[in-house]
Amino acid sequence: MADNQSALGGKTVLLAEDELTTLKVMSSSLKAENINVIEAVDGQQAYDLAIAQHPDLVILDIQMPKLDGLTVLEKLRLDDWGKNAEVMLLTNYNDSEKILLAFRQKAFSYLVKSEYDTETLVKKIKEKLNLS
Amino acid sequence: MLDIILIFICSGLLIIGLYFYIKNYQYKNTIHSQKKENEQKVYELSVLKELGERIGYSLNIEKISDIISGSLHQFIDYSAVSYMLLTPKNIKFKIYLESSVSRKFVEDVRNRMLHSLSALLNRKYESNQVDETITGSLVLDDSDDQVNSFFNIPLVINDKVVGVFTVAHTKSGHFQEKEMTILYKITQQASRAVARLQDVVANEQFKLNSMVESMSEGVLMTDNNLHLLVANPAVKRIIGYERNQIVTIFDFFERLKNSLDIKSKLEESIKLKKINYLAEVIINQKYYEVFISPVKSSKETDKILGGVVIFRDISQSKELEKMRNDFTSMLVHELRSPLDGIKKMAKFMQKEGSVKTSEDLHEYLNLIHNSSTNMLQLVNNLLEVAKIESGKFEINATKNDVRKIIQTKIDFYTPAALEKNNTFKFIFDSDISKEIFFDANGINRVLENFISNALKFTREYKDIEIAAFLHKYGQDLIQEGNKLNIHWFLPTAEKQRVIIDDCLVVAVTDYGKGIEPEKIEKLFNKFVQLQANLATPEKIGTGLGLVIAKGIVEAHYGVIGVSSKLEQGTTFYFTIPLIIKK
Repeated sequence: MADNQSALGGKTVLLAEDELTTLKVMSSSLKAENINVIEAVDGQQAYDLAIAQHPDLVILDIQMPKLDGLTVLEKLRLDDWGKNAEVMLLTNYNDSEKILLAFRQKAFSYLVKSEYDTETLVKKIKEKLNLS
Repeated sequence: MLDIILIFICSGLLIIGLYFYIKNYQYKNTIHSQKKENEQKVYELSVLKELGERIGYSLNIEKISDIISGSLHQFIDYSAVSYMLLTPKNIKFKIYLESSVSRKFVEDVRNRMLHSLSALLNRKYESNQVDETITGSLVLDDSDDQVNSFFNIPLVINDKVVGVFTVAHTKSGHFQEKEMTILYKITQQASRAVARLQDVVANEQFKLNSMVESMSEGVLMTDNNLHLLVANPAVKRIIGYERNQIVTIFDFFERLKNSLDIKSKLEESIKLKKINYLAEVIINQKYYEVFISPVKSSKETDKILGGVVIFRDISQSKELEKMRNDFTSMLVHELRSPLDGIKKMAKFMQKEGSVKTSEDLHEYLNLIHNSSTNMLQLVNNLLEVAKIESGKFEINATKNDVRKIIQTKIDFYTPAALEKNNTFKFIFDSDISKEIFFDANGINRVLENFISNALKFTREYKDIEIAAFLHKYGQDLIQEGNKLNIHWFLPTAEKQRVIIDDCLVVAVTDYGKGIEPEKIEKLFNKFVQLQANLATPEKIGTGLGLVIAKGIVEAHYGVIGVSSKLEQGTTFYFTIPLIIKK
């Protein structure tokens, strides 16, 4: 699902999200900012696509079928590229235990989706990509 | 002549008077001695009673013996009274001197007693085992009194000789049966009191011991110096010992060192007379509630006898609590995610330029529709579970044709089955009368749940077997199934499948991977199911289907169950009694 339109350069984000409305909105909003988006609807797909395409930023939901976001993160950290990859957890879990686990695996940000509107989320992603 | 007559009369009178006088005197004497005897008896009784009270609830035989020898002079006149008692360490000899006697006299009494004790117990006791105490008057070295009369009364408690009493006098022939009877009576009474008390104590101790032994809570008790007095099997198990193994307090210090500092907690409790409560202590991955308390003397509440530690296993309630918390946070997540998505989608669509074509519009609306449908299904299922749990789930039983209902479901699922190259095999017992009372909607949902699950799990090119038959009162369900050639996974060995009342049995069997035993017991648990479902690849539905199915079947007074063999397959079944109580 890589977006090959912008082979000219620009940043690429892997967006793993099983809630399809959210995936669609986020994906469209990022594309509107000229960011390439790779979409994944479950954890396994997210891992495979990340390893294959080395995006500039991996955005993971936590609750996903097949592999949850934290497991994907753990697996990524074992990979040569993945161990230093930029990872952001974007979820609706507001659970300190899970946040702790995420930071242990060097996740750079942890955002609770429903606390932000789409514009703010896009802004934060752009900051992470040094685009703003 | 008159004189003679007069004298005669006077003499007669005198004689008569004398006679009466003597008679009267004798009579008076008898009365007096009877009175004295009565007084003596009353006195004896009152002293015995007082003795009884003083002995009271004492179990200390030495103390009792002291009381007896201290009161005996009220009844008997003697030079010395003494007792000799067997103790675990030695033989206790104590002599009260009523008057001063020679050393030889004491020696004599002592030897006679030792001899008597040896004879009573048929054992040889040596003089050097005796611990001697002399009280009362002084021992005079220059006197040469001898024991000229004496008697022994053994002290017997619960048919066991524990010692002997001796009363001795320097005068010879001094004691008669009367004196012996008195001492005998007293020792008898003391012995009975002690025996009774010992029984009570032993009985209580036995009760207490068996109670502590059988307690599921771990109990350990120490004295003030932390010497271990009691450690019941449960507490041994907690630190990983077998019930018959011998443990010391150091085993507890060592094995619990990563969980709690039991030594200082006990010391603190004993020293400060304070109860310590620890709400959550983890020992070998299990959770315990721990109470550490001083043991107070029942008589003197200020006196501390030691410390007690009680461990209560709270792992199960802890696990349940964690399950509930997980369930709640999962639920919040599952409702928040689609809501947030829908909200963001609506906002996104309002933005100029986001909806360019009618295909775009169609796609976005479709996403919103699907999201809200899933969420609604979850909410509906949760409401249903809540209804079932609160007992407000009602069934509407009407006459229904089972065969038709099952066949309709099979027809509905056949296209999906064909995609995986599965076929349905339907075994229907012709004994089933056309119409049975049940709630058609409810049973339809149970069937949907069973069949869609079977479809999910059965292997390619395999059957899904659906069987319906009547179970007869007193028959073995397995045999009934065998007669119909049902290939299910109900355990054959057990006799438990004899369901009492006549009922309809419906079983759906898949030939898939089977279910692990530890997962089987959680299949009908809502807390686990919602969570487990989210982790499955398909994430179809809410995972609450079986929880609801169970509620529906049980509302019919039926039974729902599952049996599985790993790598072979799984059978889900339910029963509906033929007579439904309304």
